[in-house]
Amino acid sequence: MSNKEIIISTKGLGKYFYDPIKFKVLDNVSFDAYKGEFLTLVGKSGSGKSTLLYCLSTMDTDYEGELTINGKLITGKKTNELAAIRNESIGFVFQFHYLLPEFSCLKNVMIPALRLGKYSHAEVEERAYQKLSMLGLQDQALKQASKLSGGQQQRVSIARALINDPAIIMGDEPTGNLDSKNTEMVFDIFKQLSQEYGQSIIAVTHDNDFAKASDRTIELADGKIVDYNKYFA
Amino acid sequence: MKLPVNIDIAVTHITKGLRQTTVASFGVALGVAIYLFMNSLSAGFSGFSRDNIFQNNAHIKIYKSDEISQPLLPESNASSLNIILNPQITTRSKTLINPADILQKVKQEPYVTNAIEQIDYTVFYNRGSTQLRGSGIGVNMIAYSEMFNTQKYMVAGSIMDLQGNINGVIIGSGIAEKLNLNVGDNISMSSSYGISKVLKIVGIFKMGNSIMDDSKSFVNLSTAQQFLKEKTSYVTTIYANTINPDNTAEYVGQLQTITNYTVEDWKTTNADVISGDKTRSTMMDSISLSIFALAGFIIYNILSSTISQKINDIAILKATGFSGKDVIKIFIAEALIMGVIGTIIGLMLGSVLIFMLSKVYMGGPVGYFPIAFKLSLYIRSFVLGVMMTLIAGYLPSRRAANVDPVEIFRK
Repeated sequence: MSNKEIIISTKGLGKYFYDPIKFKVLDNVSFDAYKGEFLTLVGKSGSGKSTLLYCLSTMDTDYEGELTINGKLITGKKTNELAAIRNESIGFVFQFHYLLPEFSCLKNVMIPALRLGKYSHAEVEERAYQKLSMLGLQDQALKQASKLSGGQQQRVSIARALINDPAIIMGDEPTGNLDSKNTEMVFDIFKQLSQEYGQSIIAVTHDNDFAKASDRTIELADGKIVDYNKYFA
Repeated sequence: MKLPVNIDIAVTHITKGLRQTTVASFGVALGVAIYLFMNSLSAGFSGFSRDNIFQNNAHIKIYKSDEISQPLLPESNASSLNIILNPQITTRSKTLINPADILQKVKQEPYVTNAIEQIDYTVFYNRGSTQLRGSGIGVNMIAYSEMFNTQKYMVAGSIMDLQGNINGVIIGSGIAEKLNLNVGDNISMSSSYGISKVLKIVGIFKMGNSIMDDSKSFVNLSTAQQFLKEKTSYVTTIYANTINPDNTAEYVGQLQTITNYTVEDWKTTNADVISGDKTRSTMMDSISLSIFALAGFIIYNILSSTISQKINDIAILKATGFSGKDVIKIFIAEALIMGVIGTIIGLMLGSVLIFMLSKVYMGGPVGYFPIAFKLSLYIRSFVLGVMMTLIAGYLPSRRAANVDPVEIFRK
């Protein structure tokens, strides 16, 4: 994999929690992730894998060390610039779906694209339909988000993560709340995205089967990387 | 609809949270309605009391003030001989010298709309053994009526009948009643200079003010001059109306350069009424602004709780690339929509209140309740209503802008 293009890279990433006592939750974490790679992060509860993901996501800026996305140094940028970077290059899928309940599924998918403003309203709508049908949800498009089942909501949130064709898709336990059938579906979508569209996936997971089936698995323990390629090394 | 995405989100929040929107808008509506209503009351009453003043006061009056005698020797210093003084009024005659010239110059000033000359004198109205003391006014009646709208208060006869009629007089209704006189009757009038005349009553006025109605009478300038045994150039006062009665202080300064006589504006003459007006409008302002502030709190509260409820949504928006500024825009837009709707409803509600009160008959010289329908008040209420919602929306939206999505997602 060393000849592949690096999409995201960290150098000496460290982070503390101060509440209730000062505690080093990430310790000198350095790794690279590549374009088109389906990467999973595993580790026990409290190993720092979710914290690492939020640092990678640019939402958490309170860390030491350096973060580079797409060759650009992210560390030290202003929150408004980071918001723009997230909008354009990063898509999120969370454990508890996190859709805007008052909006239709279609609108939920469209909102990040409308924010980006790269396409006209009609084009955005067209693209949102495409993403929804790719996930088998074209019939649910106009329903209010809160009226859908959990699995369907999770797929809508994947569609939302995809709408701006981001270079990286991040998932925090994306299948943690789903039954095996839906888990499989989400996995297949991720696989397809990384293989066919060259998008990088970074997902935190507890699910060993899910991790095993991914391209590469990084294991964390006590804030340190203990294994860079857990299942294949 | 292809609204910008921030506005689109705001509109969705508003339409899906209809109950909150309604309560917030109603809060604003109530505040704006009461503000508009109370200020219209205040403006209406100020207008009424000002009209009352202008019934017999012009914007500016020019007259000869009493002069006090001066010491023959100026006081040199403390150690010198003290001169004992007994200052006295030395004015021989109240007349203005060459009044026609002053009147001409005053009329030429660009801000003067109308100017007249007038003679004030003390008069007694007699019938048999009854004698009423009063004050007579000698004027050109048509010019006077133009300035003070006297025609409006005529209850019998007409001001036209006094024009050029040196034996005619217009008297107040109080005098007519007490002396049991009517239009066409003769009235005997005498001045403090011992001149007595029998004049024909050509009109009776009633201003609803006993000081006016029980003592005033109008005659021609020349008749008044005869009462005072004065020559035909005798005039005691020049009255002038201006384009803007609120700006008389400046006009007084300019007119004072034309003449040495005392130039006084209506505000000086009626300082008591003006300060009463000010007190009342300050009171009304503070009450209505307090109610306004209360309405602001309602909006602030509702938006605050909306933001607390939507903290997850805000975190998602921020995760998907909305900046703090975008979040502020969303909630400001919500506040603004509620504010504009509420303000418009408030203006309508206020209009209904004003309309209803304007139909209430108070009787007497007041007539229908004096309440103003003023466009400027509507504009002010609108601007204040919208500003208030902007401020009430901005404060909680800053909190929303600072939401840390990581903190929300980790819970």
